Amino acid sequence: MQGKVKFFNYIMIMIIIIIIVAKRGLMVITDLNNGDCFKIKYVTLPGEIGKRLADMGFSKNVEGKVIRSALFGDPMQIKIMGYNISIRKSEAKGVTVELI
Amino acid sequence: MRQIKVGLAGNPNSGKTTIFNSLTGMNQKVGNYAGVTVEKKEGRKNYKGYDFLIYDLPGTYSLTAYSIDEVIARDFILDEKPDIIIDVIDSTNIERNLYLLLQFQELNIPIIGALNITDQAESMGIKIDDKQLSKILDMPMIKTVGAREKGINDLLDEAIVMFESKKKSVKIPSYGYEIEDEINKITELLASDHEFSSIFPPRWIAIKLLEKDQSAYKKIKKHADYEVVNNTALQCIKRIEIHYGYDAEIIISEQRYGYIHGAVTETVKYENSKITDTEKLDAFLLNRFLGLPVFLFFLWGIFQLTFAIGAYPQGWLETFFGWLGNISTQFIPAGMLQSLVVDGIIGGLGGVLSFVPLIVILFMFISILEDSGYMARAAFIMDKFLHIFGLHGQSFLPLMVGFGCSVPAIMASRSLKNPRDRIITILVTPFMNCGAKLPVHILLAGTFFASNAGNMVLLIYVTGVALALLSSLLFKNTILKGESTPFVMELPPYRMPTGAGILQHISEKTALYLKKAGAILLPASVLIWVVISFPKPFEDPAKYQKIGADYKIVLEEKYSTKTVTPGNDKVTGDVEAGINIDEEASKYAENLKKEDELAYSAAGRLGRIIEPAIRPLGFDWKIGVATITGFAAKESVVSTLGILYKTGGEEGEESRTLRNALQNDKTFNPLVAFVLMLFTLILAPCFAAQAAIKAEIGWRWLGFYVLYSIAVSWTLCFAVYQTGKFFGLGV
Repeated sequence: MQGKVKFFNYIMIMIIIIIIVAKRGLMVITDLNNGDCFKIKYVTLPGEIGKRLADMGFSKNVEGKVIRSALFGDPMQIKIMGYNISIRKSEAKGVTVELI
Repeated sequence: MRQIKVGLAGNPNSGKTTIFNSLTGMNQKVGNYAGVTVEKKEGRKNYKGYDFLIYDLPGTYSLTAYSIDEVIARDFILDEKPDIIIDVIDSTNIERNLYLLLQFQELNIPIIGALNITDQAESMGIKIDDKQLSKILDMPMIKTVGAREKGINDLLDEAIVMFESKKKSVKIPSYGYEIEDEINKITELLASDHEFSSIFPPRWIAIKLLEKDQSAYKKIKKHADYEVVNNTALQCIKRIEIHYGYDAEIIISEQRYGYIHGAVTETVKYENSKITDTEKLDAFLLNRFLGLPVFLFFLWGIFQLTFAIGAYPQGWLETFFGWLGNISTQFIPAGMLQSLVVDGIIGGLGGVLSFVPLIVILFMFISILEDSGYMARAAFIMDKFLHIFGLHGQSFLPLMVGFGCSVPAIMASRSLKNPRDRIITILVTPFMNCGAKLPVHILLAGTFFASNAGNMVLLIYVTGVALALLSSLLFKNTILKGESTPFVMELPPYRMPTGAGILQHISEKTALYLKKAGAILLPASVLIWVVISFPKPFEDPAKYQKIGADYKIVLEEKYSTKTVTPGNDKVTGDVEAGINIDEEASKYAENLKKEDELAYSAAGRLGRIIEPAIRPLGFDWKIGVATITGFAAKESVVSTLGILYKTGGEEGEESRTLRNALQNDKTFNPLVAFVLMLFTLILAPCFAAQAAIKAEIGWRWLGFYVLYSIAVSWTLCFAVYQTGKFFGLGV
């Protein structure tokens, strides 16, 4: 019985470590600083706003750069696909990226 | 002559409109798409024996059902079935522009790509192999530089070739194995209804269904096997979402971009990425700390220049209308007709039309800002601040224009795509102190606040802005509650505006303004004239002659003391004072007569009726009459006050006589004057602006706005007056 519980615990720990390692390096755009380059993993905004971002190029594997933010930190200027776009922090929060 | 119907499409900022102007020149017609406030532009071009009918479709980034512009662009293709679509592509960011192109291809229509702005692309080190791209996408690609009219004829030549050969793209973009499988399931089902398939391209419908496009789900209701199609589509979506792990809509977008990325990697080379001019300018103009001051400086500069330059033509127009008035007085016999023409029409219209130069100059500056790309930066800077009050970064433009005139400001709100944002912006724009209200403020402040006049007027401006922002906050949290629109906005590279482009903008907007304002304010001027002229009391000339005679006696007594000058010449007091007693007496009687007529007229009676309601604000019936005429046109407030205070109504706000008359009146004092300034600011704008509101958002919102403005103006003025009276300020 004890052996089984130990084994089970090891498996759980392994799974947790795997998850942590996999999620390592994932952040949202609002976590980035000016000048950071990123690669988009996915967009988690619902309905129209998610679609609009996707249409504008916020797509999986697209690379981009954070250029600057306005005076109070909002909105942010992002460069993707060779052009500049302005998005609010509330929208930027929904774009999960990997720092590159 | 063969006719070729062409739809011109493309992203915003792709230079589509410049190409449209190059193609059609002066042969343009501007209207509205049925039932919506989206501009419909069509033009014609005669070329090599063909009659080109060209439609400038709204600029869009995609063809979803979320935005009215996009729906119009796609419905145009489905309903009007043009022969060819020319998609104008911004070569400086080709991937995003191709996203729209692919969707047009899916609509199964012959399409030509115009690789525009190639000059700027090349200077940015972007090299596009148009032949290869053309092969990959299976459609003609033509390099153009719209701003310099290069490649325009090539587009037309290609259009003729396409039209005659009836060729269409055969190769279609693929969405990957899994999704193509699902698409085919739906297209097979759709094929069962031939009639439906001939109207709506099956593959396009299938893809839109997978994208959860609400409009597509409505369209399939016309299909013979609607239920089956609907359910199949929903099942396909479920399968896709399980497979990929997120929203089917987004997955479709991603697949499109994946396809585009593949095409672009093969055909577009990016060389030496040096810092572009745009980036250099933005480092300064969008600098965290410099950006806002620079922006405010530009705003201030534009207003100063507009008023400074505009003062000249404004002066000329005023002189012209004055001259017109004089001529009319000479040629038309005195009486009702003369009064109607001179006081009503020329007086009213003249006041309004003398504003046109200011409007035109303001439009010019705004067009320069828009075409150069700076407008987007301004919206970027202002968004956070405006968002606090429930407004949108792009709302700042209508608000800014509102300082000149509400009519073009309300028209300018069309750049706001979300209906809720647009409605709120339109509802608060009239609180901006427009140019027509300014004479009223100048008159009252100048008369009662002397050295402080400037500050009081500034206070009024600030109050207007504050009210606009607070009202917006109120609306956002009550009647217009809802999700904020996403503020997703492109920041295009800076581009030099073309002279032709600016001229086109100015003439378009001015023509619209004249149509709206002129059409409303001419009848409004006549209406005001009618309301203050009728009914007329029975005129007893004897009464006024007696009054004149009595006053003459008073004057004679006043000036009768004879003075003796050193040279022993006897001069009467009136000559010394430079007064002609007879003239003064008859003028006095005349003015009294006018005042009595006004009291008897409909406007006067209306003034007396509302007097109890406005007494708590410190107003009497005369001021009531002025506010009533102001409801139709703010410019008439000053002239109405003139009539009411016995100066005949021809003088303006600088008039000494009018100012003296106001100062001597017992109702008026600094407090009342300030309250009247506030009231003029807040109460609903002129008829022209009201008409513009109705045209943009309908009667119900107009009605709401009028009631709201009456409520706010009364409440605020009541509060200010009673508080002032309580503390003994200015009474």
